[in-house]
Amino acid sequence: MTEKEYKESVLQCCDNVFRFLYKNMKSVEEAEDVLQDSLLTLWNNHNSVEKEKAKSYLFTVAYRNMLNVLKYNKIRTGKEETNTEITTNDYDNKQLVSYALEQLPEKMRSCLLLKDWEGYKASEISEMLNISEENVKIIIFRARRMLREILIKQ
Amino acid sequence: MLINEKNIEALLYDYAEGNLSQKERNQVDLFLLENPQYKEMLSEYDTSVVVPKQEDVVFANKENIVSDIMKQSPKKTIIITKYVKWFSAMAAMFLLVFGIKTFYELNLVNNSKTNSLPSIVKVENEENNSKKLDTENTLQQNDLQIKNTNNLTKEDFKLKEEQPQEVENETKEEVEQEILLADNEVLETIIEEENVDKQTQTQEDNIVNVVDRHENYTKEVQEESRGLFGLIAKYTPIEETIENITEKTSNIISTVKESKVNKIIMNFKERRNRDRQPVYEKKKVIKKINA
Repeated sequence: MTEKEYKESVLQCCDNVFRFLYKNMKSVEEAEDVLQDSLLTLWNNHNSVEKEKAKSYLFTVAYRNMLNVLKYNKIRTGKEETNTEITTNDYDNKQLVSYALEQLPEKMRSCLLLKDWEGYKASEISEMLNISEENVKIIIFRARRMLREILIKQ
Repeated sequence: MLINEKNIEALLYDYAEGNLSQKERNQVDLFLLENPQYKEMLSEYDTSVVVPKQEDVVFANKENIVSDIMKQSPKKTIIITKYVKWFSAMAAMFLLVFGIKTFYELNLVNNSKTNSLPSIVKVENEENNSKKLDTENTLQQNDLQIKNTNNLTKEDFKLKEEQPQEVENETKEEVEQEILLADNEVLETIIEEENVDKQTQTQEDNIVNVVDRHENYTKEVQEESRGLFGLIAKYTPIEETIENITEKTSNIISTVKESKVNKIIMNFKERRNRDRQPVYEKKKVIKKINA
C-alpha cells in the first residue's frame, strides 16, 4: 500500500472505527487516543498491508488496543464502568437501542456493531476478533435475542 | 448436514439471515418440528432490531491527524530492517571466520597425527598412498578406456581389453623375477656355506687322519725301535717319510693352534648374517605386494 492509498483508505474508514471505539469505550478522548495509536501502527506497516485489507486491519488493531485500554481501566478503577440509566421518559427508539446495546457484554457488542454498522460477514468478524466463525454466529444470535429482551423490559 | 444442540444456534442465525440453501432450510425446519424449544429461540431472534448508526459521531480533525502521522517516518520497519541487515552481516562474518578456523584446525590435527606415527607406519602409509594413487590412476585409465570404447570397433575393444591384462602380466613377471633373484641369492649363500663347511671338514678330517697316522707310525716305530729291526728301520726311507709326516703334522697342528680355520669360519658366518637380512626383507615386501 502506497502513502496515497494509505491516506485514502484511512480517511474513508476512520469515522467508522472511531464510532465503533466510542460505542464500546463511551469516551471520546480514549477513543481518539486508541484510534491514533491504531493509525500509527497501520502507517508503520503500510508497506506490508494491502489496500483492500486496510479497513479490516485498522479494525483489528483498534479492537486489540481498545481491549488493552479497557483492561487497564478495569485494573485502575477496580470495577467495571457503570451503565448510564435513561431517566427521561421521552427517549426515542435510537436512544433506547443504544442504551440496550450498552448493556451487552463487550464481545457481543463488538460483533453486533461490526455486523450491523459495517456490514461485515461472520467470517470477516472472526478474522478481526480472532474467534471462530461459528462462535461469531452464536454470539450475534445470542446478542440479538438479549437486545430484544432488554428492549422489551424497557 | 448433521444438526445437534451444539450447532443449532449458528444454523438458526444463518436461517434467519437467509444464508442457507432450500435443502438446508428444510432440514432445519424438520429439526425445529422435532424440537419446538428451538423454534421459540428463532422467534426471539428479531432481525428487525438493528443497531442504528450514529452518523453524528465523527473523528474530528482526521485530515490533520493523518497528515501528522504520515510526516513521521515508519520507525519500526526501518529499525527492524536495519537490525536484520546488521545481524545477517554479523552472522555471515561469524560463520566465515568459524569455518576457516575449523578448517585449519582439522588440517593441523591431521598433520600432527601423520607426524606422530612411527617410521614403519609412515612407510606403510606412504606405500598405501602410492598403491591408492596407482589404483586411482588405473581406475581413471579404465574409465577413459570405457569411454573411448563407445567410439571404437569390436576389434579395438578386444585389444583395449587385453592391455590391462598385459600390464598385470608384466607386473607379475617383475615380481616373479625379483623373487627368483632373491632365491638365487639365498641359494648362492647356502652353497657357499656348504662349500666352506666341506672345506673345513675336509681340512679337519685330514688333520685327524694325519694325526692318527702319525700316532700309528710313531707307535709302530717305537715298537719296531724296541727291536733290532727298529734301528734299521730308523735309517730306512720310511723314517724319511715319517719325518716328512711329522713336519707336515707339526705345521698343520700349528695352523690349528693359530686357529686360522676358526677365524675363517667366523668371518664367513658374520658375512652370511649380514647378507641374509636384506634378502629376507625383500621377500617380505614381495609377499605383501602379492597379498
